[in-house]
Amino acid sequence: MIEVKNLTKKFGSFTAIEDISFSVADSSVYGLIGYNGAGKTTLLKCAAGIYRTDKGKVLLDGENSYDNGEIRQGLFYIPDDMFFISNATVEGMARFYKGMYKSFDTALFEKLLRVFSLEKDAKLRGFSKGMKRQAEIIYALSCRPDFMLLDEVFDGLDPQKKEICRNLFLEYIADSKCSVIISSHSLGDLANLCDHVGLINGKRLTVNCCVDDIALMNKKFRVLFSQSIPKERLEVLPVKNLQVQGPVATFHVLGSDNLKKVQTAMQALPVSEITPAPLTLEEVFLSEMEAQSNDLQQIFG
Amino acid sequence: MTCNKSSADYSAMYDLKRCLKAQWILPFIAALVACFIIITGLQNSFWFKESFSDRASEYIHILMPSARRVTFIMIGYILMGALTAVQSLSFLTSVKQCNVYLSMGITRKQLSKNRIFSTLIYLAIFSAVPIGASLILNAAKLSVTGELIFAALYYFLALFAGAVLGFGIGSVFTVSVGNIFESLVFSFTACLMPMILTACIETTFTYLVNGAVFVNENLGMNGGFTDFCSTLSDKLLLFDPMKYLEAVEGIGTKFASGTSARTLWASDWLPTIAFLIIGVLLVALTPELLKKRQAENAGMFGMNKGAVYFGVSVVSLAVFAFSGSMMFYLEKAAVYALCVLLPPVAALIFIAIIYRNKKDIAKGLKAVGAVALADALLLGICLTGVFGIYTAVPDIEDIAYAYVSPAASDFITTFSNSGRTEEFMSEVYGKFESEDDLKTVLSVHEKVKDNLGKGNHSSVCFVYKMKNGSEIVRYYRDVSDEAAKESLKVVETKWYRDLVTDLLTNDDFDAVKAEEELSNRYDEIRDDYRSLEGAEYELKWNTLSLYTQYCGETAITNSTLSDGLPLSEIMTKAQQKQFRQCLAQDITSMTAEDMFFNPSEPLYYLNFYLDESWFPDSSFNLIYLGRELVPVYESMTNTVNFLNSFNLGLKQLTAEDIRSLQVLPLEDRFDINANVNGSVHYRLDMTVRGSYKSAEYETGMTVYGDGFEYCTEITDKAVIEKYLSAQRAVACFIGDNGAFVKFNLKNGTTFVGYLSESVIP
Repeated sequence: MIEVKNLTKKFGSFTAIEDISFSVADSSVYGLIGYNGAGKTTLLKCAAGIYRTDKGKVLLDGENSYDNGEIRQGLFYIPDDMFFISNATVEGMARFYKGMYKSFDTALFEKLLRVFSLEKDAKLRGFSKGMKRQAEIIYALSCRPDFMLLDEVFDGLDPQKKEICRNLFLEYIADSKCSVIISSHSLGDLANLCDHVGLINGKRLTVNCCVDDIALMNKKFRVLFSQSIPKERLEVLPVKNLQVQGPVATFHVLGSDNLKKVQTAMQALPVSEITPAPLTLEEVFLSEMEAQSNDLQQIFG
Repeated sequence: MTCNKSSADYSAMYDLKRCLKAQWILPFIAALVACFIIITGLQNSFWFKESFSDRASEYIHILMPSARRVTFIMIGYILMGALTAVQSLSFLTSVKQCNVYLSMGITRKQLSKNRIFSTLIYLAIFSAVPIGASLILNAAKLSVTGELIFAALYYFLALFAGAVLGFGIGSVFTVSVGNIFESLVFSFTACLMPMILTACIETTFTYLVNGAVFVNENLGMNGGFTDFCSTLSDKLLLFDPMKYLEAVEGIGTKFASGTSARTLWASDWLPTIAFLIIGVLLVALTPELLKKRQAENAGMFGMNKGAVYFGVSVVSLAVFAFSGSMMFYLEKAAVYALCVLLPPVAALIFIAIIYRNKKDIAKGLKAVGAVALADALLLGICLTGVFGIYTAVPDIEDIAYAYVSPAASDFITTFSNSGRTEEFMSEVYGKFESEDDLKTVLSVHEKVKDNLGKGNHSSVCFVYKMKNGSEIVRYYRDVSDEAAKESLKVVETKWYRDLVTDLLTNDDFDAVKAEEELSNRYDEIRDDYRSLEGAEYELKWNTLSLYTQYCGETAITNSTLSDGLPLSEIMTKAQQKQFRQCLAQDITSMTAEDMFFNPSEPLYYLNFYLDESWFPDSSFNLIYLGRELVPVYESMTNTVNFLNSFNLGLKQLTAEDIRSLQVLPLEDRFDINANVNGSVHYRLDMTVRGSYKSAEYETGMTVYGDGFEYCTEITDKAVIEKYLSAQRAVACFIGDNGAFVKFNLKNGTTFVGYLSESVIP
C-alpha cells in the first residue's frame, strides 16, 4: 500500500505541490493527471524517495520511502527521462537490475523479451523512444516490485504495444499485491487501467476518486428551457463549461454535492427537458482546467 | 517480492562490485605516468652516479627522482584524487542517474560508502605501484635493506595522503554542487587554493606594497634569502599539499641510503599525517553531505551559494593580484584603476558563467559590489604599506642580530668572452650583532625605506632576529639609486672587516674539520633549515668556501688581464702570508665607495683559487666576495708597496698589440640578449671579465651570440689607445649608460672590458 500524506514539496521559494494526500491500496492502480508542470513528476519522485519532502511523507507499506533502502527494494520507478548505462545492451542492463533487485526474475525477463520481440544483445542506445520504453517496462516487471511508480510510461508506445503493456500491468497487478501510481497525459490510457484517479490542479489534488465514481459524480447536462434564459442566471450555479444558445444550455457539473445543488436549482427554472450524461475522464480533466482554457481564449482573442 | 535487510545488502554488495569494476582507471593512469617519471628519473640518477663518481658512498639508494618530478607526481596524484571523486559521484549530477540510483533499494549513505571504499582501495594500490617500481629498481641495482623498505613506506604514505586529500576535496564539492563542471572547477580550485593564495599574496605585496614583510620566493626577491629563510610558501607549507612532498623530497632517499644514522623526524611525517587526516575527515563528511543533498540540484548551476562565494573570492583575488602585477608595464594610476575595476568585472563574468540567467545574475550583483568594496579596501591597505608595517624600522634595543641582502649584490652579471651573460645569486651579509654594525644596518634601512619606488628596480632585504625570538623581514622591491648605493655600506661593518681579515690571515684554518662540523650542524638544524639558524649555517658554508679559496693559489694579472702569473712563482709561503696581511689591511680600511666605485684605474687584479688539494672531490660552489677579480688600486698602499718589492714582470697591453675594437652600448647588449638575460633593470653591479684564465668558466656553458657581431670594427689607433686606458675589467656602476668594448688582438685573441658613459663620445 502506498500512502501519500499531506505532501508538500518546494523548490526554493516555489511550491510545486501542496498538502496532497491519497492512498493506493494493494493490487490497485492510481492514475495521476494534471496539466504540464502541475507536479505529477515531483509527486512521483517524492514517492520514489528521490526528493526529500518539505512537509508530509510517503509511506510504502507503512514505512517512509525517503532514503529507505530496505523498503525501496520493492519499488521500481520508471521515470519519464529514462537512464541506461552507456553502451549497455538489453541483457547488460538486465544484469544491472538483477544485481540491484534480488527479486529479479530472469525467466520472466526472457519471456517478456519475446513478447516485445526485443533482442538480448541489442544496444539500448540504438533503440527508439518506444523501444526504450518497452525495455524499461520489461525491467520493471522482471523485478517483480511491490510498488511501481510509472511516469508517462506509455509515452512513445504504439497502440498495439500500449495494449500489450496495459494487459501486462493488469495481469501482474492482479497476480501480485503491487500498488501502482501512474501519471499520463493520455487520459484514455488511464481510464482503462486505473481504478482510482487523482487530478493535480494548482499544486493541490482537486480530484481524488474511484474511476467508477466519475460517471456518478461528474455529469454533463443539456438543458432545454421553455424560453430563452440569461446566461447570468446559470453562471451563479456550480457549473463548468457553461454554454447558452437561446433556450438551450450545456454545462458540466463536477462532484456529487454540486450535482445536488444544480438539480435543486433547476427545479426553480423553466426547464422543458434535461438530458444528463456521464463525463469521460478527459472531460473531467478539461472541466477542471477550464480556468487555463479561458486564459488561452483571452490570449488568442 | 520480499523487502528485507538481506535484499538491501544484496544491492549494496552488487553496487560495490560495480564500483570496484569502474573506479580503477584514473588511479591506474596516474600510476602509469608516475612509474614512467620515476623510472626514467632514476635511470638518469643511477647513470649519473656511475658515470661521475668513483666513490662507493655515492652508490646510494634513490627512491624518488628530482624535486621537480616529485612535485609533478604529487600534483598529479592530488588532482587524480579529485578527478576520481568527481567520476565516482558523478551520478549525483545527472537527473537521469539520480532517478535510478536514488529510487533503488540502496541508501545514499551506502552508495557513497561503496564509492569511497572502492576508490580508497585503488588509491592505495596505485600509490604503492610507482613506489614499488622504485623499490624494485633500487633493489636490483643495489640491495634491499630495512631502511629502504621503511623509506618506501614513507613515500607511499605521502602519495596516498595526497590522493586521499584530493579525493576528499573532490567528494565534498561533487556532493555539494549541482553539476560536473562546477564540481571540477571548485575541486581543482580548492586543491590549488594554497598555491593560488600564496601567489596572490606574494604578487600583491611585491607590486602594490613595493616589497614584502616575508621572504618572497618567486617574484624577483633577493635570491640569497630565499635559500635559507622561511618564505611565505614555507610558512603555508602545511596548507599546500602540492608542495609538501617537494619540501621533504630526499628525506626518504637519505634515510634509505643509510648514509645518515638519523631516523625520520616527527616533522617529516607531520605534513603527511596532517593531509591524511584532513583527507579522511573530508571523505568521512561525504556520506553525511550526500544524505542532506537535494536531488533536485542535479545538473543545476549555482545551487551551492557557499561554493559560488568561494569561487568569486578566488577569482577576484587572483585578478586583483594580476592587476597589481601590471605595475611593471603600466603607470601607477592605471594599475590602481585596474585593481579596483577588473576584479568586480571578473566576479561578474564568473557569476554569469555559473548562473546563466539574468534573474540570478542580478542577485549576484551584490557579490560584485562586495568584491569592488573589498578591492578598494585591499588597495587602500596596500597603499598605506599595510598600515605602515612594512616601512617600520625596528628599535636597536630590540634586535639580537641582523642580516642584509644589499641591492648591489642583487645580481652580478658576468660578461665573458663566451658571450654568456650570467646572473649569480645574491649574497646575504651578516650576521650583524655589534651595536655599531646594527647602527649601520639601521641607518641603511632608514635611507632605503625613505627612497622607495624610484624606478631602477634594485631591491634590498633586511632580516632581523629580535631579542624576543621573533623574526622581522623587510623586503623593498624597488629602491632608488642612492638607497641601493647606501646598502653597500655593509662592507664598512665590523662583521665584514673581521671576516676579510680572518679569511686572509687565518693560518690555522682546518677546512676538513670545519666541513665535518658543519655536516653535524646540518643534522641538528635540518628540521628548521629554512630559518635564520639555516641562514647562519649557510653563511658558514659560504665562509668555508671562501677560506678554501683564499688558502689556495693566488694569481696576479695586469689591468687588461693579458698577462699574469701565480704569486707562488715569485713569493715564498711566508711572503705570500705577508702579502695577504697587507691586502687585508687595505681592504678593511676601504669605504664602500672606494671598493665599488673607485674612479682610478686598477694597477692589478688578483684572482684567488680554491685549494683543491683539500677537497679533491669537492663540489663546492665557489663564493666570491661579490667579484671574481679583486682589483688593486694605487690607494691600497700596503699591498702595492709589497708587490713593488717583487719583479712581477707583467707585460702591459698597448695599442700596438690591438688590431681593432668594437663597442657595444650597454642597452643594446641587454636588448640583444634579452632572451638570455631578461633583466634590463639590474644595472647596479656589473662585473666585466676578460679572457685570462677563464677557461674553467667557459666549460660547459651554452654559447650565445655575444652581441658584438652587430658592431662595427674600429681600427683608429687614437680611439684604441683612449679606450684601452679607460676600460675596466671589473666595473660596478649605477645609472651609467656605458658600453662594453671588445679588443681584437693581433695574435687572434680577444678580451672584453667596460667603458663608463663619461668616456664614450
